[in-house]
Amino acid sequence: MTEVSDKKILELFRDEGSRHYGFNLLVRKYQRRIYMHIRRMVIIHDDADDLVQETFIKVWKNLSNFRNDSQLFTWIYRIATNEALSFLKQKRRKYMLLTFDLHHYDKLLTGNIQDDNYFTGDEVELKLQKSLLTLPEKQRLVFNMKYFDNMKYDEISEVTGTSVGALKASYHIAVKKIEKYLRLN
Amino acid sequence: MSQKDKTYKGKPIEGLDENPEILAGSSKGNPFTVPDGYFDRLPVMINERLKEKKENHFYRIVELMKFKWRLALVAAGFVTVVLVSLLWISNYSNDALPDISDISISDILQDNPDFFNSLEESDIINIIFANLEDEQNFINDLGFSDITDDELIEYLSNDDIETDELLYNL
Repeated sequence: MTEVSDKKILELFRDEGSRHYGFNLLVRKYQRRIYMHIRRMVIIHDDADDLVQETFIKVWKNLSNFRNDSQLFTWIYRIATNEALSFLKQKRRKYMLLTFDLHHYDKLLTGNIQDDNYFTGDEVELKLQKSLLTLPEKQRLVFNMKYFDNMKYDEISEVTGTSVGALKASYHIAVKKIEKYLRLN
Repeated sequence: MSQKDKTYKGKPIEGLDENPEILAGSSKGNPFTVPDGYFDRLPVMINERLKEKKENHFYRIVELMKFKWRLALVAAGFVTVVLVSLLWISNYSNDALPDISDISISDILQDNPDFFNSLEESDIINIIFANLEDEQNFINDLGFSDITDDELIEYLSNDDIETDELLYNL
């Protein structure tokens, strides 16, 4: 089945009669990428599932206001990224208040990766994911988008609102930290 | 069947030192998987959630209206309490003032004899009768029931009667 263009999806969505059909096409087109983007950030499937649904609900509510200043997928990515970052912030705050440990939630996630039924990576992949969890979340975000999603810096810039130069520096630092982690572990 | 991407080639981290960009183009494994059929069900789940949100939105409006009514009732109650309180305070203030009728006139006259020296006798008569609800009862109490009004006025207006005599006989 050929992929429907963003332009066609937007046309369908703007027409009251075909709005639901257009939205379903949009969900089917982007659900895997958005899910994986969120899942890499929040690690646990159930959390990712909830956040993906919230992301698409926000897309539904705001798509009529979407202007073609940016690409549709970077716009959806931005919503998904904000959802994931807000979620992580809330979780961290909650666990910090419960345990007085600033990094408790990240430690919890590291443990979760190993026990997760929906993580089937080998030892190297597990080590890479653990090293990623040692990064500040915005560095992790940039690394994921660049490394796993093959996004260009200007696309990442659209999503994060950060300059390309800062993103390059962030990615470089992330790589160095990962190297160091892998060398030591 | 698992949705896992099977194209993972091994150790993408190798070579990171030399050229991190080389990783961007390489095939990366996706260790994160999802339950079987997850992506087939996801659009349906999103639509169901959207419906729920729309219904919740309706109930929220209803709740908001109820809340407005509740708010109006609370405001009305508050205004009522304030008005009742103001009325009560106003009445209390009036009650707090000493009522001249509750004070024995003879006490006043005994405590302030000099004050009445400056008064004309006709003023005193007017004061006495102005504070009496029932003139006739007063006259009866004094044992003057057989005296007519005219006789009494004539007596009180008599220049030969001293004011003190009149007052202390009350």
